[in-house]
Amino acid sequence: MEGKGNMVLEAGVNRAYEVLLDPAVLEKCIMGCKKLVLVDDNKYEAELSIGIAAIKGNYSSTIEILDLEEPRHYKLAVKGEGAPGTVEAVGIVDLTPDGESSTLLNYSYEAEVGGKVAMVGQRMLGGVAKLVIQDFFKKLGKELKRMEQSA
Amino acid sequence: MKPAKFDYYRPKDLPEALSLLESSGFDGKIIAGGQSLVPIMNMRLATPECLIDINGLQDLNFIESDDRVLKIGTMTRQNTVETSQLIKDQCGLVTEAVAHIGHLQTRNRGTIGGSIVHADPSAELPLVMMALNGTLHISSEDETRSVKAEDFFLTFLTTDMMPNEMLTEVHLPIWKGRVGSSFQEVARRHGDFALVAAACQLELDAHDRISDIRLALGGVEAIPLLISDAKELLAGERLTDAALQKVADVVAGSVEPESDLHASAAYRTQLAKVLTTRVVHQAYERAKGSAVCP
Amino acid sequence: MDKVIGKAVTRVEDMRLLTGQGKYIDDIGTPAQTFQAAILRSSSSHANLVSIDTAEAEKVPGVKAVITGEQVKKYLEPFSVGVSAPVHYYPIAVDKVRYVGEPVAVVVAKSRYIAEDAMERIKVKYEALPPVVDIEGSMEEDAPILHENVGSNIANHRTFHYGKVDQAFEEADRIIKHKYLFPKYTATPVETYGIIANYESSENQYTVHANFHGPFVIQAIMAQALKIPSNKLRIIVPKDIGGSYGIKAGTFPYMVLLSVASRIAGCPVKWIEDRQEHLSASSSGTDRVTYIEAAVKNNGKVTGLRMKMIDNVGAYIRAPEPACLYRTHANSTGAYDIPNLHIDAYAIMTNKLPTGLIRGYGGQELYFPLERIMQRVAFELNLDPADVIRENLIKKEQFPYKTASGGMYDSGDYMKGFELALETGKYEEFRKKQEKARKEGKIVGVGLACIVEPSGSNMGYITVALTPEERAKSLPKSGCSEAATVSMDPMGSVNVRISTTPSGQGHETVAAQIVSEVLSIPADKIKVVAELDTSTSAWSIASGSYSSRFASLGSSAVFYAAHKVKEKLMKIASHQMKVSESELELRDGAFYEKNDPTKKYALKRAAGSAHWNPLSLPEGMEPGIYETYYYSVKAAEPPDENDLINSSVTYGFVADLVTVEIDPDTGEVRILDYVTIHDAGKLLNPLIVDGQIFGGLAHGLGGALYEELVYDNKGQLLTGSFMDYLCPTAPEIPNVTIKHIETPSPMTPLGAKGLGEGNTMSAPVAVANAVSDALTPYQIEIDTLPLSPNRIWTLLNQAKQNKNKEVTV
Repeated sequence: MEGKGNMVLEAGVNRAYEVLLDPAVLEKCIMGCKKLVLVDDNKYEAELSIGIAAIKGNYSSTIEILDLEEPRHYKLAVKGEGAPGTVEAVGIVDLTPDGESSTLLNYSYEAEVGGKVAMVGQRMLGGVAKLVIQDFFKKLGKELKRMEQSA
Repeated sequence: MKPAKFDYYRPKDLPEALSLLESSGFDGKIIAGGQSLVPIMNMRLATPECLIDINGLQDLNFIESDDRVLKIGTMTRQNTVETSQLIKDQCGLVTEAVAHIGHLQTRNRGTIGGSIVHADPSAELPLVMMALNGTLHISSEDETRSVKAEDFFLTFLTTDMMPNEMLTEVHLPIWKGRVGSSFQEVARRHGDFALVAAACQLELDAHDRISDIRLALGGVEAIPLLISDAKELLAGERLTDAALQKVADVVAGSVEPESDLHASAAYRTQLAKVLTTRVVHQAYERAKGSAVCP
Repeated sequence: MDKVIGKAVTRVEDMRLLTGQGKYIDDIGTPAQTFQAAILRSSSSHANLVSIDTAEAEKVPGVKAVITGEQVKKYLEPFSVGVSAPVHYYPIAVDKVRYVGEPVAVVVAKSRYIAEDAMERIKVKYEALPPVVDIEGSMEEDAPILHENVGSNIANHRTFHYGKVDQAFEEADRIIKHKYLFPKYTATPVETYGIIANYESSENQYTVHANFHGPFVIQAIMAQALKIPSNKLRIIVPKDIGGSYGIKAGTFPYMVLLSVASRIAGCPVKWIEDRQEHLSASSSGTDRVTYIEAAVKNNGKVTGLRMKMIDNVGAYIRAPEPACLYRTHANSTGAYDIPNLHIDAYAIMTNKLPTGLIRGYGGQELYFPLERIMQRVAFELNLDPADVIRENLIKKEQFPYKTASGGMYDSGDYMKGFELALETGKYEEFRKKQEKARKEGKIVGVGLACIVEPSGSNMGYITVALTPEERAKSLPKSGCSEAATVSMDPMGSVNVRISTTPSGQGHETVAAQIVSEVLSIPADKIKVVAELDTSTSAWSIASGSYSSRFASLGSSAVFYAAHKVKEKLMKIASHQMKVSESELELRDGAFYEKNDPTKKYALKRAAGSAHWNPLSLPEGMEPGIYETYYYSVKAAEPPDENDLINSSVTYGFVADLVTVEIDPDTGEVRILDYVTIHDAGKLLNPLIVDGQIFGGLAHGLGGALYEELVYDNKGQLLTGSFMDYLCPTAPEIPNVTIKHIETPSPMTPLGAKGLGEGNTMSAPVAVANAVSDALTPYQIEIDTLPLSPNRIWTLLNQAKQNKNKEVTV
């Protein structure tokens, strides 16, 4: 499963970059994130509950932020393991300044699901993956906006 | 393949069901026919802590009509819907669509409400609700409200309903006049979820010109997709091949299906086009052949 | 009494099956204090097992034991395999996981619910390794290796050269070749695997109830793996098995796993496989790549064949693989007279579910390329495909026909069968209709397939996997033994015990028919016992239900055992009546003097005296009536030093004609008509025969149009439920016409041959040929399956685009 998208962030590129990588923000924006603990430089362990409607699985996950090129580029790698199987996703984020207080965010992702969910979920997995990723960036955008407004 | 532990309640009436739902918060789940819920529970993809079995709520098993609106209770079995002469006479699109749901055995158990609230993007009943813009009647302990289908389906398996709410009945408008409808789908096998499904209902004036049309597609998006341009493109005219082609092209341009194991995005788009032309054409022919209602 | 053999007698099994009184594994009850097992399975297709933390799982109330590979290994040796590559296969992952679904731990608990609760609390750490799933990709130099000690993913490789292949190719007018891929698909019985295993330390014995149907050579393999004498592994097969189609031969690793689980947990353990486990981790057919080349004369005569076939046996090669490559070895040239043959055979391993028997075993993989290339020969030479088949079919007068690879086709009249198919399917008429339909923009086609259906496997064929030098080092293997016991009790009632472990084919009915006719007793008075118990039944390594062997072998054993009883009773009657045996005849339950029919001696009385009055028996005769016969066939010889092997005992024939229409807009294939002509020698029960043919055809149509175990390139299974693994159901089955011709087999006493697998072998390619025929105007080659609407539409769309391009150029 793969896809891409873009959105406009209502903040300058440096500020956007900083907020996007703020663990507190990540915790808020990752769907079903119950707990996010820093375990190493740019590496977190998280308890995620991912899914749609009543169909949810709990995954013990690691989230790593890689290829940091402040303030333009980074890579987010998520690996999760749980009773329903495994989830692996890599997202690449590129930020382009769009004036003083606006930034264009482009993202692309690749996600793979293994085990039980892969065996039975084919009909909807692609769509749901897209939904989960879109949800993440949408929340990031909102969170950034909220922080900018309150700042 | 055994479900995780859950509490089980079998309320006797709607107030009791709603009260149980309210008290179980986010952990409650209603079970009616169980044709989708039980498999996902057995696979432990869903692990609700509390099941509220509404099979005892026989007040919600009904089919009524006041000649303007057809009302179906949420607990009405799909097979009852399929074999109802009243529904066939007043909303034949439903009858035609329900025959495509699974198998006789699953339709004997599955309910109309269960299928709608499960909101599977390829399922027949959500598609028909969207095509006819039916109204969903929803209750919680505090209030009763109604939502149009166009506002009800949000995304995959997700509707406008809150965890403390329950669908009680669905209302479908009864079209009068020279009405024709058609439901078609392409599935890998009889009874499978559709790769793509299409539903159309239209009305003709005395000169065979389309006066109203509703067209919707299933299996191409996260929710049933209403083709709202259809009316603009076709209303006021007799159906021609060129007009049909135009609608098909609009459909092809507006769907963004996902690829999966059984159908690529390109193939789904093709099916959306083909089924669009087929259902519109068939509905049109049926309307032409229908007697003008008194 | 009238003839009973060959009559369409209704099945004695049906009453109990239809009234819920069948005795399947889940019906037979369990020993006291039996616990239930659930199996934790790998979600990774290829990884090192770093650690398994079972502590939390063990704390769940009701859990008796949580068992991992490290513990199991102590009680086991790896299963022995039929190849020289040192593949270590245990029934549970030990240091690595190699496919999604591989067992990683077994939880034994009071109930399956609790076991599954506990399973969720086991923490497994994997270290991911790159997977390999592609057949040819697995043979590349830098491919990830599954078994490091083997050094490559090739489990077996053999080349065979029969006749003057090079000469045939040099002298050919045309060489026609193509590459085909037969996909991985499976058999999906309604009843999944089920096992009740009990280890008794007092006797150091394992007793295992399982819906396992042989081949019972695997009993020896299991005992060896369990490191016990084989009489300490008692296998009991219930009376009823809820379908198998070969796949339940694959219960054996689980029988061993549950046996050890019982030993470690210290209690009897029961496990019923669920559907997801079945699809992901039971067994399946092999996917095969075949490069096929035909040396062809301009008149369509094929003079030589070269085939490179590569079977994907999945993550571990295990018994009876690589048999899929060799089961059809003798009939590699199918129904055709092709004397020159070269085969390059590989069994390779990838990160997919290990394979094993399924209905048609090897046949569909062989005939898909063979019958596709025959059609291609016709198309490339601009000949009618029917004429190409006619040109190449083995002629009636050539029987018994010795094939290039050592097969001995026992009997047949292939031309008659094929012409009957053409006539029944109105071939010429359809061709005219097709011409007209094409002008109307319709896409219709007709497909033909002629196949030889082998039955009654020669146990020697599996050793073809070894070179003649390797074979010379061990005991030769041959034969196809089957045993049956016929006994009469003191009141003259007949019991028959068979070891063919039926899974719904009606063996009880046919065995009763045979004994009824031999002993002149009504069939409904005969009781057939189908339970097999390795401690008390008469059985041999070949026993079981596979390779369509009941009609050719099981029935023969029953027939001869009944004859032994008849001979003994005749001796008793002769002694009592003081008339020589040659002057007696058996009819209507009594021996009659041929010359004086007023003098008779009831069968019942003869049996009675053997029990009640043994002193009245002829001098030296044992009391009682209890006769066992072990049957084998001389023709089932071991492979010779030139690798010639008659891999089966009898060879039937199937000619199919199928017509299809394809929706040009959606790519959906609709079968208009399916005609299948069978020659299975003498039919023992035509009712059962047609039932078997319908079933085999449904499975074949599944392979043609619907069924595939799909893996992504990471080795994840994508078809883990019946929502995505699509078995055809009743509405998918088209109009079918079945006709028979009967050329009796000289190999078997009743002239019968096996059947029931034929259309599983033929239907995939028959439908592919029909679709390819329909699509000839678009120049589309069908080289893989299943023919899903998505696949057909994509091919059509590409062809149309190519055509448009040509036009614009």
